[in-house]
Amino acid sequence: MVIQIILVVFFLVVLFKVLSKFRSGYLKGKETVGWVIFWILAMAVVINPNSTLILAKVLGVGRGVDAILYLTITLLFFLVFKIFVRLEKIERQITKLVRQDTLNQTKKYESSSYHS
Amino acid sequence: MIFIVLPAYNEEQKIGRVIRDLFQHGFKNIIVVDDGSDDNTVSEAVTAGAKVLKHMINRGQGAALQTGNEFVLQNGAEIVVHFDSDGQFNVNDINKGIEKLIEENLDIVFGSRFLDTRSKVPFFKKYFILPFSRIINNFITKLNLSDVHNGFRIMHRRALEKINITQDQMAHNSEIPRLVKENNLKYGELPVEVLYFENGQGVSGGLKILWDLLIAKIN
Repeated sequence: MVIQIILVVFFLVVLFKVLSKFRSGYLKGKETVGWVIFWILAMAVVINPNSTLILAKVLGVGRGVDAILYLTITLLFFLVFKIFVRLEKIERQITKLVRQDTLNQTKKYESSSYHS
Repeated sequence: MIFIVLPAYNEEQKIGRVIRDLFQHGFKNIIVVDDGSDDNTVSEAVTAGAKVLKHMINRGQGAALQTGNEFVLQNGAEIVVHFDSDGQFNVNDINKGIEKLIEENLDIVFGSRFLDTRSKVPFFKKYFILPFSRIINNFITKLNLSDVHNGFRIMHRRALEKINITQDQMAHNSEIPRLVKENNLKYGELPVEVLYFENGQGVSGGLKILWDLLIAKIN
């Protein structure tokens, strides 16, 4: 089927991206392994959709597609949550930097005004 | 030493008048924290005679207040007053608050719109938004206050040293009472007058605050 070919090619591209991100240091070893396993599994599922039936049986869900759907939605929620937490952390770090800059600038301003 | 901290974001129209009013009432140490304004807030504040600290980008009112707090702590503040830069508070309330803080040996005094009848709170806000917000806020902060998210507060250095505002946006108004409770600080409430303009926080602002508090809990 055409969709299988498109998806496999797409996943291969993503896989290549993951590896190049690892090489350039943007992804840590653990994260890279996780993503590689994830995308290889995704490819396996696309090539052999019936393989999801095993998963469906284990989870007690009727169809393999449903099992994949539930799992991917859960994973997406988890990732969004992680991004939220990370963003919040970055926001706080930015504020810290801005504050430190403000306080440094102000100190300089004061000392120079004393001398003038 | 008493410091007045005014967080300001695009307040060029009103900030000059507020600063002059404060000077006329005898306050000397007026610190404006400009939160990355796009307009002439900084020059207006400087012209009016205030000391201006500048955030290079906008970080929110909570962030600006914490910058002000740290600056005044470094400069020997004994008492700090948080005041609005848009002229919605009455300068005459400051001295009453400082007297209360000292006489009752409190660590912090919160302004309240509901302890006298001077504030003309809009109907919907008074009878629907605020009572509901108060229940949620008192539940979150575990502090029983008659008003919610009133930006007028007076703090002793003792409180200033304990309170570190991490909520950059408006949720700092809930964070401060929570920290007061956590640190067992002595607090009191003062009737203050609040004038109403158009730019208050609506329901969406309230929801944003709840969201910020939730995210902070997760963190």
